[in-house]
Amino acid sequence: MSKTIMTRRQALATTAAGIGLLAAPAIAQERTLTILSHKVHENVARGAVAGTTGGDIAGEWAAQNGVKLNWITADIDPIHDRLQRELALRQSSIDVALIINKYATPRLSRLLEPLDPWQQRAGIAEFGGIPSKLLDAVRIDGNLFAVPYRHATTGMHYNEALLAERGLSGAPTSIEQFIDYARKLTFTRSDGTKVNGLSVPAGAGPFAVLSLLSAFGAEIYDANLNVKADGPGMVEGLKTMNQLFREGVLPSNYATLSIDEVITSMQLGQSAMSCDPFARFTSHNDPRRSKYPGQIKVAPIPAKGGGFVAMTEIWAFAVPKNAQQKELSWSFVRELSSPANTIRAALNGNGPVRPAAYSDSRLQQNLPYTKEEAIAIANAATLPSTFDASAQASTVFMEESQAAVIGLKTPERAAADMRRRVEALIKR
Amino acid sequence: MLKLLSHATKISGMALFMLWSVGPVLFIVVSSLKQPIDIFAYPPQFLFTPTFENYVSLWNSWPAFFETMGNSLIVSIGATALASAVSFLAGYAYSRFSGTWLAASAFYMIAIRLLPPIVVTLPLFPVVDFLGMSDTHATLIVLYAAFWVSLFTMIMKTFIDEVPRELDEAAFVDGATRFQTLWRVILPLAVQGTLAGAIFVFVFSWNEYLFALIFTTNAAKTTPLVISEVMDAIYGTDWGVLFAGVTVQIAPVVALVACAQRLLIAGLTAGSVKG
Repeated sequence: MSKTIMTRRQALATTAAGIGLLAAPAIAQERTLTILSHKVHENVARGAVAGTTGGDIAGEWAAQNGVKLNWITADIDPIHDRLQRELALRQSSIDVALIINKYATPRLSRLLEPLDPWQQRAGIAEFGGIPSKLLDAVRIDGNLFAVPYRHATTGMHYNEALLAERGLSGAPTSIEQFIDYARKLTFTRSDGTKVNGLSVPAGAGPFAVLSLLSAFGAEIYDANLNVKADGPGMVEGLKTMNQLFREGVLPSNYATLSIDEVITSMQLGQSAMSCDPFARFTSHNDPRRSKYPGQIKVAPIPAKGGGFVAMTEIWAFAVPKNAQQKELSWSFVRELSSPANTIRAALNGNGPVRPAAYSDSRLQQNLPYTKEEAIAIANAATLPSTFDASAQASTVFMEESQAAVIGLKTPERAAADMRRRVEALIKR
Repeated sequence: MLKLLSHATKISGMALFMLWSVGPVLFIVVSSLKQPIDIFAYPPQFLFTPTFENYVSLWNSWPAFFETMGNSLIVSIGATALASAVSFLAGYAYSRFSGTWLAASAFYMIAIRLLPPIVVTLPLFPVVDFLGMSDTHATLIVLYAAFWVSLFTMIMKTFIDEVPRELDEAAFVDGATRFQTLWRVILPLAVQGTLAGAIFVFVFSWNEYLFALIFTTNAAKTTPLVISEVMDAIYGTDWGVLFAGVTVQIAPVVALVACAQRLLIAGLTAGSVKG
């Protein structure tokens, strides 16, 4: 027992040295701009998806400025979780973050750099080309705290092959016809596939369901935070959806339907129509994944009494107040927000926040739905997030609308409860 | 007849149990070899020509998946080594010594383990940032090891309790120091417990998502974070690529457990006191 392999002191020292070595910060010494975003933003800014033609916009800016881009990507909720943790620090390592307007609450905005002074000092070219309603979504008390970069606006996707199978053709032009189509498109195909006439990702957030309900005139609350959740439009919309659910037009797992399930069911012909952002057109018609490539079309959602409705979500560039290289951050935001680069990003698959982009011939050639999306965005509404509990208000909407649609509550009762609960959140 | 019925019931029960346990894993692995269009096709396709298209797409579209596997490996091995070393020593202390403070520390250790991990991250994030340890392997190694040390220690205590104290005493009589006794007598006899605990830590570290999400960005980013990105909430999930990624992710764990199975099952302590 005299031969010792390693003494306790040696073992502890080795462990400590090992940990110390691993703890060495992995931060490069060169000038680095750190961007926190969803993967899709990196892809559209860098032209990273094969077949896109907009080029590496961010990479060109980085090369011109001698900057290394450090792109941190994650899914939507994790990005915002991470951002809020970073904003609580004395200094953040994040230079630019892409935030979605549903999380752009007053509480968050207070921790972000006010951008009006930056815009006055070294403004984004043709800033007026970004519609004021998109800018309003990232303004609190008149102060701009983010610059819109991408929009996701809802439309009505429909499978032309299934329409033809049921003796229908062309997109429905009124909400009544849309409902009628949904009913007629609910059937069992000869191979045994059960087709639901309409799918909405009701489990994924209020966005798509509210688009459909807004066709009946439904609103949760307006820009001045007047709650309108128990209005006649909401009640009528919920009644119609409850009827569709009972008839099997909406899938039986309506309340938990995810975005993925809706996309997959559209791709496989298990749903004939869906309300979802226009950008899903690409996924629906992806020849690798879709049984109906080129046959799933998209059009604006018709509103009751004429016209169209849509909801839009906005992703916007924000600079943390505790960021350390704000000049560089703003330079990056300004470059990517220019009119020319908005079009280039759109060619890479981005939803352009400048309507003028839709007139670009290259974009029109690449995306067959530019005209329809331009109509939708002109009619689109955002769900204001100008109070801190706006995310909870969205949850209340989901709970109450789901309860009405699947029959746990009467539409009137659900709408009244929605109003009461949302009002309480706004007053809080 | 009754015997036959009983036999059939047993087999059916076993088949159902197998389907319940193996079915989802098999579905993922098999789907990773299908054309994306056929994965959720109706009627389901049980016979198909396997393709590696999804693995190629994973390689081309998500290079970060394979790059981050190195981080996952470093973190998993580091956490497993650290937790094993600490838990073995702590297990020995709890097994061979007693006292109020030791009992209190054991209670504290278990109590801390009961905290939901998300709660722990709240105070920890600014601390890790202050120490300049954000996005380092060391942070994840320490966190994962700390997360498992309490349970692992109790496993080790139970195993070391089974090692007769007479062996310690015999080693001391032979002139061994306590550390030599630990290293040369106790550890070989408790290796089965150490291995079992180590596998738990490794599997946990390999698959952990929450701590990795909060405490890493790029340099120490682990594979589960990339898998979560493949589950895309904007353009929809590419199921084939996702299933290919999950198959690659679970392969090392399955291989590890398969290799360690013999050691896990074998009663290494059998006969240790018979001389």
